[in-house]
Amino acid sequence: MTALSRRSFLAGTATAAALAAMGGTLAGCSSGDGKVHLELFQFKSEAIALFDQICADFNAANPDIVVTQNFQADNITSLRARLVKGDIPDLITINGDYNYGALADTGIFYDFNRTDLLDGVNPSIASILDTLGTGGQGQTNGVAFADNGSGIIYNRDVFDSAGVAPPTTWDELIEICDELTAQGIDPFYWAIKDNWTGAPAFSSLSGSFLTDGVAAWYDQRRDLDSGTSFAELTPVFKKMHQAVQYGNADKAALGYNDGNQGFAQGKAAMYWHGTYAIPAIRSYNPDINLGTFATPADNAADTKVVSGVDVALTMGESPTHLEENLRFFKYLMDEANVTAYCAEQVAYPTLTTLSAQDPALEGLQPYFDAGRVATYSDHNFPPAITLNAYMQQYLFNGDLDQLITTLDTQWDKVVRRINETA
Amino acid sequence: MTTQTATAPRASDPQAAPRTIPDNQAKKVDPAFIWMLLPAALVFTVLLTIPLLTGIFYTFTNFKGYGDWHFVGLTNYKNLFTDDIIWGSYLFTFKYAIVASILTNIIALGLALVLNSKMKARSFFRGVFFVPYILPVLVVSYIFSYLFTNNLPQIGQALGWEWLSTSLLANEDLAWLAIVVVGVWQSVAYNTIIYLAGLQTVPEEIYEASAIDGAGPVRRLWSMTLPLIIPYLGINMVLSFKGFLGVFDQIVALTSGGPGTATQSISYLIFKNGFQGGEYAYQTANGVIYFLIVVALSFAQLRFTQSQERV
Repeated sequence: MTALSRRSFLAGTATAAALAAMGGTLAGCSSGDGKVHLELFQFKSEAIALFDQICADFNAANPDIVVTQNFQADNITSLRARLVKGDIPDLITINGDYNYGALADTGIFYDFNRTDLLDGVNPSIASILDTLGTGGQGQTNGVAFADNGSGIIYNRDVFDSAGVAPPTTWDELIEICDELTAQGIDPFYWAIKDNWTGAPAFSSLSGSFLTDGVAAWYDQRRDLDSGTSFAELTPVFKKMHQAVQYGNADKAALGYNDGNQGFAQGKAAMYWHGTYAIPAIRSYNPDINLGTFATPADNAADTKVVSGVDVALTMGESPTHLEENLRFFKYLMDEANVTAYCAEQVAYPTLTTLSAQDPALEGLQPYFDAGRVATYSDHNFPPAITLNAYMQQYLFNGDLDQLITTLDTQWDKVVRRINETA
Repeated sequence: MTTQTATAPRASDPQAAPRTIPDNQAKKVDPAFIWMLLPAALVFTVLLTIPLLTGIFYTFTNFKGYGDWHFVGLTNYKNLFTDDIIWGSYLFTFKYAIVASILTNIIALGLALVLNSKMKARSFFRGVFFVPYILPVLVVSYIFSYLFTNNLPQIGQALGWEWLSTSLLANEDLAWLAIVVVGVWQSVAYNTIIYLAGLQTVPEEIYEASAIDGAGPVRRLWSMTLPLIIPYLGINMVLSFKGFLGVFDQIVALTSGGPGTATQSISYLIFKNGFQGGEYAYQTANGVIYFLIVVALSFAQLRFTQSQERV
């Protein structure tokens, strides 16, 4: 054994450090069992168990493939980190919002029009993803798997005991509010301490108000020389403010979870949120008897349901295991799996052959069947515009002029900035 | 308390008298020292300097944090200076930092003077007042959030005070004060410890001397104690101001920058719009400006307090 000299010790540590640095890059996905290993990048914490089950069933039926679920709560941030490293997951579930559009615009996702996966999907829903962003003209970069609908949730028992029925026009809604107030019932339950809770009302109102299409109006607004202003949405803002007056006194102090809890305890008749809130409300009161109706327009014929793709499936633009990926997606889009997911998560199936089974979802289903859906207004705002914050400010102080001026200046500024550095 | 002063120089080997080295000849450094320094320098460079320079490089591009990018020159910086959201966040942050630093230092100095006096259970109280510093900021903020939302409004209603009868956090004009309260409550503990350390350095004899000269307690505090602990005041001011400029956790837990955009601090804005808003390069440019401002202010403060030291 040689005595440890300083020089040999230093050489030894240098070698060890170099090896450690290389070790990080040696972890690949090559495992010697001859199977194709796929990673399912999944973001819905409520659905982990279900996706594990689906993966297990699929792996059993396809002995040559092993799909493993990788749950990531803050999926957009971690997906971006993976993209920086050029390490795009094989199979991705993603929420169809502005971030999806921004990612799709960079052309990193596959074009599913080249596959038959979209064949059974309701076209008015499939096209919502295209309005958010595409990697190129005529592409569809995601497959809509499950949908949410945004209207107004109501407590059927409170409605029955007060003797009112879901409205079909805005004026009827206000009549109902007055009626409920006269009976000492809070018409709406608001919880606007969390600033985004005003956004569902804004989105569902503008979905019915912008009859030429929500995305079309925002396209025009993005053209800064078109002279379009948010003043055109004044009726939408006014209705929001009108509805907030019909609410609980402690609305400014409550956050979203407090709102779910209070509404579950029957503290008000209506709750202005999308269907995503239903599982949360039921978690506080499993026996609550919920219903939904579309946010009524002035004219019943204009009423639309605002819908977003709650879960979209996508993959990289040139995946390593294309055939295996498509086989898994095909399996996932199977009626049985879509039904199982939608029943568990209280979501709307995207396949034309299916409809929602949950009694709380009945009210909006006819709109999906008739293709009367609009995209979320707030998905059109670049995140640098803190729309939710301005909405919250407006609901607190009711200063319409300030809101319109703020939205116009911020929109112009951010869009100009995006164009400048595009 | 006895102070040992070593008046006699240490007995040293006369052979080892320092040889004078000509100026034109570099001093030879023992390689052992270089080997000791190297890992630290390496880690510092890899983990701090390189990321900083990479970040600065990306501020001249339109990088979104992923995907393709190209150079856009100084566009990001030009836009920064015309962005009212950025200005608003700087205004809020400085207002918050100035008020919170002053309050923190006044309270911490007062506490330190009390805890330094001869009283019963001194160690116990020192321990009690240090507890807030140990608690995680987020936990403290969530508890305060509950108090502001539920308990304070009840007190306000009972007193019939209009401004306190609704949640402070939902009040555009006063929400920042709520954040000041939480920030000060939390950071007083740490500054108190530093002041206590400073007060230990003030020798007992000068108090005896001033007592003989007939100075009262106020005069003693003003003319003796304060001038002698000025260096500690300086350090505390710089540290707390720098800390408050980076306010982040309290805002996440209390207001998320709201109501509206009333309490968006610089770091919160950089985080929110940079990481979630896809404005990576733009907000990194904001971070660079912010970094330069903090460095300049810290230097200025240090210079100022050093000029006040008179011992």
